[in-house]
Amino acid sequence: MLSFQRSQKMVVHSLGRQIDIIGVACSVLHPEIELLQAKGEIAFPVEYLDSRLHMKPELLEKALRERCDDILRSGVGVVLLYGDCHARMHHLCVNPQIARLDGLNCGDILLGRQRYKELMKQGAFLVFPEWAQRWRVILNELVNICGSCGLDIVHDTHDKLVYLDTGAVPVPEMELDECASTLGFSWVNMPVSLKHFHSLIQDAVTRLQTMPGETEIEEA
Amino acid sequence: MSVKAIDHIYEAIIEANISKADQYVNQMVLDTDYQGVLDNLLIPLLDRIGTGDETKWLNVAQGYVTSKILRRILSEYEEAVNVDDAAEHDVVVLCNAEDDCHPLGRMIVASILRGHGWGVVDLGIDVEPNSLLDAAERIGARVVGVSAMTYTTASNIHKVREEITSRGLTGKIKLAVGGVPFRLDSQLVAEVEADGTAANALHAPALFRRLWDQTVDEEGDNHER
Repeated sequence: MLSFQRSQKMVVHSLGRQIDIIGVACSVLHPEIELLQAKGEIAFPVEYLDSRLHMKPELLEKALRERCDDILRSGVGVVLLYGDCHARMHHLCVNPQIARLDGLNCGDILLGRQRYKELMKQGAFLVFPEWAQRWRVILNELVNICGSCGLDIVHDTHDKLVYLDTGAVPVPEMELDECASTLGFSWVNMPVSLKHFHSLIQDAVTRLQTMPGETEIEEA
Repeated sequence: MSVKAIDHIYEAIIEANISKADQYVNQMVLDTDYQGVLDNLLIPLLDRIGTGDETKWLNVAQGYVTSKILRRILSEYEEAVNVDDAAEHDVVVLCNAEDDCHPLGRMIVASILRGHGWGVVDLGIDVEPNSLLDAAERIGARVVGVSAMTYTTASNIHKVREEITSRGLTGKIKLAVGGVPFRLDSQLVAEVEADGTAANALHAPALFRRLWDQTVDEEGDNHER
């Protein structure tokens, strides 16, 4: 659990407070977050952790915990721009000063639940703008694509490559061609609006601001 | 099948080396009839995998190679296995939890169960509890297995328990669960009110057998009353 020490002083709960917020995000969402910030739709600063931490969930858990602890010590709330990305994510979010986006993973966060599930049932392998440029490294870490069964694993569970074109970066066609060719799939470009992502962020901010807060009053 | 060949195939699983495994499985398929494969390779190999220190925590690639070997052997000897005779098998239903779209673990479990002689109806990813229980009731499955990759989707498995209860199937259909969240959080099995989980896919046959037999025992107890 988080080392979030409660004060020994009397605690009074209050609603509707304004608090400072720092976002902690997976770098896979970096281009989209920067785009929303540039449009003025995200008004708080965001720090990033490397998306490759997903390959080692225990390291992701440790990095998130340490970063949240540091931020919470300064009395600032945390919006976690993450899905349910490791098995103990919910432990972190027990703390009312932390609000995570209501999404399963980055695909669900960008696409919305229904569209995400439809694509998964069609056997889509989702490619995100941030890691399209380094697809070979990602796939090697994910399923050892250069190993003897990496391709088999991908083929047993996927039929096609779908690039999520959020408009945050130009479509990396050359990299997608190479990736598709390596996997033996064709790829399709899927335009994705950031409206759903933005609404999840707004929901998380609202939750932080309406959670019972703590106003400390000296005990008599 | 020589002991040495089993050693090589076992090594191939640990190394997650599918081509090395294929090499020895191919040779075995050429040299041995089905019963010989069953007695001298498949059963000893599964026993060894099920009890080996190296296979206590299989990674994705190792589990995948294991399931590939089993599928390969079974497909080669499909006629001998007489897979059409579903009545000869105890049949269970597998799926991913509602909202869960990570199929690999479930597919590995399905292969390994089939390798142990179970009939498996695999409903795929993101399955709602009513669909799962409809299938289980239709085919007379006494055990359903639900897989989840995340805590959020694992929590959805509680809806399966609610569906079992609301249909009056408590004790008649057992709920097995699996996936990373259950391995890391020992309380989660109780939280979703499942009947059991296994350390990894290779231990699934023993779990399903235990749960299946429990339903038979409980049915017998009810009849005696």
